[in-house]
Amino acid sequence: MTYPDVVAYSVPFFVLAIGLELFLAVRRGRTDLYETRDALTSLTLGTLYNLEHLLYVAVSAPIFAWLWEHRWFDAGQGALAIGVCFVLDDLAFYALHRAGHRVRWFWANHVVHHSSQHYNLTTALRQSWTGTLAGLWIFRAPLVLLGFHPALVAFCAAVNLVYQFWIHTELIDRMPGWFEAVFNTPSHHRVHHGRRPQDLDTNYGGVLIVWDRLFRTFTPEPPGDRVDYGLVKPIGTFHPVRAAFHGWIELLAELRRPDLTPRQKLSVVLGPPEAASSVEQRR
Amino acid sequence: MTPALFVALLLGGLSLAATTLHVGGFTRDGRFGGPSEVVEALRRQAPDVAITTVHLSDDRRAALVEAADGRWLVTFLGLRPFARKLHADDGRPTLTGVHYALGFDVPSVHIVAAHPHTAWLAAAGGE
Repeated sequence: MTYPDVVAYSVPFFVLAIGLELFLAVRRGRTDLYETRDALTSLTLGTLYNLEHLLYVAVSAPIFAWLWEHRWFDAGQGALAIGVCFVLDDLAFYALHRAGHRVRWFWANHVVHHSSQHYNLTTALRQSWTGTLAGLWIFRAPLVLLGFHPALVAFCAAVNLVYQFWIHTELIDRMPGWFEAVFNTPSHHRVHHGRRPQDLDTNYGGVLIVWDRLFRTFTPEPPGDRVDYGLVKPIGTFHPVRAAFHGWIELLAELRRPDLTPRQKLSVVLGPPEAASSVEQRR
Repeated sequence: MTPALFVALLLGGLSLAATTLHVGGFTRDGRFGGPSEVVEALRRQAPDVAITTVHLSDDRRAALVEAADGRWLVTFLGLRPFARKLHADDGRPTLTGVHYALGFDVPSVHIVAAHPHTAWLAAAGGE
């Protein structure tokens, strides 16, 4: 069974939606939502992310093919299998995303997505170029081992990614209550992109916010609240290459410190970002 | 899609987006209205810093903050402010002010301080 390339099909929608958001921002007097260079950085990162994704596929495909040969069950590819796979894939994304914030190795990869101090639809496209290097495929590998076909897993992952595009906006306030209770929304995801202490490490969900409610990482957006977006230590450049790799450069700099033992270096890599060997020394 | 077509679409699309945004007036650089805005910006990044003095640059695009734990540079990336702790050898005096290269993620910040400004030059190691 073949699945549609939902990311490719979504590109025209992305372009139209960004144009609409820009138009509405001007109409509502929210011209602060966009900054030319910031948006260009996001668009460049998003465009070239597609090239990196080819590498991701090249690396993960043989691994997933091997796991498929050694699968424990065969879920098939019917409607039920697609539905179950989608939900489990969303759970895998929750784990991936939580690790992306709580494990320095994965944060070095994910930090670029949070490096804008603006929050608009182009921010959704500010994707990492180092997912393959970071080994993100490992989070979805169990699905294949459980008996979901690699093509189905890839399809679900793509749908998950595309869903998250529309939640990167300030122009949608709240969705209906039932929707906010079950699904990830602009309101929930704004909090996730905040840098104030109360916003950090919350709302990791991809499509479903129920995982955050279940694992106690959910934080609602207070009514009338204005989130302060970006990193605790914001970057000072629009250069896409610097934005893409600054997390890795900082991690490497710490690992090259001669005063750290191998055990301490390992704890830097596997520990949370804020517990890096000496936060004070990271200017 | 051939690589040449991909590159053409990429460059064309980005150029179109850049032109649209720039012509639409979205290319802007922030400026501090006064010392209180500098303090607010630094406090958002470093809430516990005990600030003693704020020196605004001539163009109000940056500020040197003297604090109990040392000197901080607070400046803008586009419209949004950010701060970095300064070390003695970070700055380099130029004809129009001070230039800072603060690492991979802050490669270049130019402070306009045309008149000899003791605090800026001291921060740049010029005094």
